[in-house]
Amino acid sequence: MADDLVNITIDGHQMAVPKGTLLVEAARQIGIEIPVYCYHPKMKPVGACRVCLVEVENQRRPMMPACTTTVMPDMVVHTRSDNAVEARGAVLEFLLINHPLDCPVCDRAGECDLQDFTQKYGNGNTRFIEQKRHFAKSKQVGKNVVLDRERCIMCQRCVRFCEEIAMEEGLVIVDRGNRSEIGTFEGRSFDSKFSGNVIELCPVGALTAKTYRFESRPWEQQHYAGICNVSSLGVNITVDVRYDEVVRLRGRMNDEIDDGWLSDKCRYSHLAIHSDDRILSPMVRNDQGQLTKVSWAAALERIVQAFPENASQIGLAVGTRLSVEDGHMLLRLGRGLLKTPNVVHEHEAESLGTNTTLTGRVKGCDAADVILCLGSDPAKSHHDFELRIKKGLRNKARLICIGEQPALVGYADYQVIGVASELWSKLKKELKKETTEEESGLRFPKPRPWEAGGETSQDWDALVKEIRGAENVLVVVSGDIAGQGLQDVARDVEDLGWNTAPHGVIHLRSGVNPVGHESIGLIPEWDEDGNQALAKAWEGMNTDSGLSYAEMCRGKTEMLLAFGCNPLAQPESKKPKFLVQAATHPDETTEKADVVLPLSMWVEYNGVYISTDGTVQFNRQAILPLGEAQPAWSIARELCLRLGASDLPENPRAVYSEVGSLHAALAGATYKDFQTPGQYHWSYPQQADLGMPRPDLSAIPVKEPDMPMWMPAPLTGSTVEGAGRLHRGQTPPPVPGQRDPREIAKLLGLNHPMDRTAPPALTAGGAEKKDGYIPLRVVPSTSAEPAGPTPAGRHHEIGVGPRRRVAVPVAQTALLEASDAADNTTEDGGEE
Amino acid sequence: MDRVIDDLIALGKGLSITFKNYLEKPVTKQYPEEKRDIPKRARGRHVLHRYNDGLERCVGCLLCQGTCPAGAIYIEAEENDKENPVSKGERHAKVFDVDLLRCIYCGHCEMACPTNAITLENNTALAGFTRESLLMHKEDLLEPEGSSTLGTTEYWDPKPPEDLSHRVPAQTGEFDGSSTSAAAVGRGDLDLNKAPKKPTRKEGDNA
Repeated sequence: MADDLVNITIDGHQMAVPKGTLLVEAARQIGIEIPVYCYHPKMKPVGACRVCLVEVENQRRPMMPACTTTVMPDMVVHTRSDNAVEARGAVLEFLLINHPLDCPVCDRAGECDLQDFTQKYGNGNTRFIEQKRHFAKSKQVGKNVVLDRERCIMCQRCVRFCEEIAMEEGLVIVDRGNRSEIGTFEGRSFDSKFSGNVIELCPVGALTAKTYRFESRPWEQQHYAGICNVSSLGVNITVDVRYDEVVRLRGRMNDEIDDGWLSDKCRYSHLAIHSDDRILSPMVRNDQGQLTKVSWAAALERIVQAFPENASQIGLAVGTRLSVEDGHMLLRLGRGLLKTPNVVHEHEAESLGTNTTLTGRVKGCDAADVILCLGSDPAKSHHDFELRIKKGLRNKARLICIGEQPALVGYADYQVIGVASELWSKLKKELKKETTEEESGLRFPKPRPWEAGGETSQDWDALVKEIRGAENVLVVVSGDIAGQGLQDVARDVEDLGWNTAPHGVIHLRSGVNPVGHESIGLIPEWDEDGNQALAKAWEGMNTDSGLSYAEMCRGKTEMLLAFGCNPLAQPESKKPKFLVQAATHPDETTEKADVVLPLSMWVEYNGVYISTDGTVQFNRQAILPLGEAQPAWSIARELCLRLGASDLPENPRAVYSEVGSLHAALAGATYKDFQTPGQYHWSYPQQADLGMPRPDLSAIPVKEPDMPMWMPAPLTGSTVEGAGRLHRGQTPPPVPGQRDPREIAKLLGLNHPMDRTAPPALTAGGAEKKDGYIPLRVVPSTSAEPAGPTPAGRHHEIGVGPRRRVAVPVAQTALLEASDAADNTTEDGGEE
Repeated sequence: MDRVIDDLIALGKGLSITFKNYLEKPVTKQYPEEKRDIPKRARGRHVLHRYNDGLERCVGCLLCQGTCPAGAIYIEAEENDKENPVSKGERHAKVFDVDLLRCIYCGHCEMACPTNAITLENNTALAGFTRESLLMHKEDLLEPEGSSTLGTTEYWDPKPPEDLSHRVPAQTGEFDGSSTSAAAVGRGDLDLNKAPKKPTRKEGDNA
């Protein structure tokens, strides 16, 4: 183990890090910040921006880029030496040469890495007086991506995202050298399913979102940790709220699920929250057949009166966008109080039953040898999963597509077209044959078809050999292989011995929270043995098997209550005698419903969602419910009260505790589960946003060999919180959950750049004050070399006086005077 | 006797002041018919300024809102229509509300403003019959069309000395070619969105 560790010294602090660690990551582990623009932990380093220059002792070149340099034994690194500080300032000065002074109109201002690092490490002034490079403003490169080429600092993060992560053609670098710019291929638009990620990746305001353009400023937002309500993957998001309005959604790093990326489908799903057609008040259909607004009390009274005598004639359909709490309260209403057996969620047809456990996880893609896509296209329904599959492909996985032709087929090594279940039974027969010696462990080191420009192989024998040689197999099942077919696949996979988490079968469910609803029994078959606690608590509850969702849609019940789903959009659907719908937006069902109730959307209340691979996650309320909208659990509670129930839980926290005490599948669950990371993914919004748990500094300088993996900072940069509140000369406020870098510096016995004392007064010709201003160009005499630890040369001090004061060393003054002379001859407006 | 003389002198002194003031003009102002002179740098109600061509100076950057310690300012920004721009540059304030009941007249907003769009002017006569009447909207705050002033900025923000190399376009009138600086120097009408001229390659230029 010790052989894998390398001893290095960073800023006088000795530490041991694993071989191959990049300097920037090693420094981060002990809380030393090295500014980066081009570097991103999820992408290959390129060393394009050079702002991460650090001083390494005994090297041929004194300044090394920390983002591309790996640790070497006994390396001595200085990140705050005079040379390092000066080099960093110089690089920033270069980056700012062509950067326009757009901050007042730039969407990025306040969370801009260029702003933040210039304030922290910049020289405080510009010496560039020539013409800046200019491009046309705001060029729309994609449906939702706006490019401002002037602001670009050519870090190539967006280009690398398209190439490496999304693995598709998107943004490219056009032209070369100092004329290079970001663009698309001639005549093409940048319309990727993942285009929004480049907006988050851009460290400056060069790429901005059309939907967010000029909408809000980061300093007036609150950030909440949420869960995506579009797909069942449980992608983690940050919900940014301005004046109780959701202005944007951003990705939130969760290595288990999303790897920090977010698909456009989810990214722009917040547009529905404040759309004009939201249903915001209860409505009842009057005698003329028109929906009229009524009070909540009147609407609920109308529903209670309409309940038929025969309880089995009532159906409750639950949308999968609802949380576990919603499902539980609706179960209480349906089975517990109305005593009807018909309480199901809308995607129960895909249900696997309780007997089979699937071991596949989303992160299983990373280390899989073979990813086997069975059935319809996972990339079509679960956009975020496509990026995860591609990550697997980049690692070592072979992609085999069986069944319908998927969008992923361009990346597949093998593809077999046909009926997935039939092909699977053929395949499993061949796999179950005795494996010969030669075949096991056999790999085919041949170029990938999508790399070599070749075609996807359809060679069945090679495919079987490939799977036999694989150790970790992830079977991705979606769409048409459901129910019985899926159970067969799960059993076969178990027989083949692939059931080792995180590999095995992963079933990509439709909807958002079907797994959550199944775990509390919203399926037609009621599991009596597994729910004894529930039967005891809810005396006289109905434990029969009920109707399926499809049957309910066909009007098999007299009365149907549809919560967050659209039963009349199903094939062969028929309106029951009395139809109640709780909905967020009008749809086919709303047109015919007798009572329509306004339903809250997911950001409007706390709730727990279980993702398709069984990850239990908490979604935090970000805004107040719009209009008169109510979450489904609350509506169900009101109906329960009207049916004579008492002792009902009063908030989602209490509902979830009841879920934990009554349901075997979630035994013991409470909201406290989400306070500690681990099996559950929970984090408070601000810390979540900044991502990275800082190491305990009391442990310094002893570093345990099994150090935690570095949790990378969020994609957007380093200092989102409070950055906008900074005034000149003010130091950034400490971020909750993070140690103040100056405190760390003090602990390490170092000088932090912000803590430097000002150099002694400069004695130079013509240095007298004029009107309260200190003249800018002070020529320090040689005797004015500052004594003591303060470094010579320029010092970093902004905002102490009415104007910035910057002392410029002699050599640079000469340059300035030369450029002054050039300035006098510069003509206005001329370009190149 | 001496004491009597002293008393008389004191009486004379006192009465001389009385008579002097009696002959002077009274200081009482007959407000509101007569208005007091207000110091030039006094901070009264906000005014939003315009450029010479009538376009608004405010670009809706929200810096004043961000710096306001009383939370008195509310802004919603919007993209400029290129045909009929409201302000120079890409964005403008669609909504600009100042709650005068919340405002503490500290002047941070004018300090924060990058385009000298907002100033606190000499209108200190601020009273209303309703709360709503003291919630100022953009129309109330904007200076009338045809007027283009800088307001009190010139008193509290004197021009920097000549040798300050950090040039602020709004102050130096210099134009560096960007649309921001064009706006700042009152040349927002320049068509900067034309594609830049492609440099002609010289022979032997392999770059």
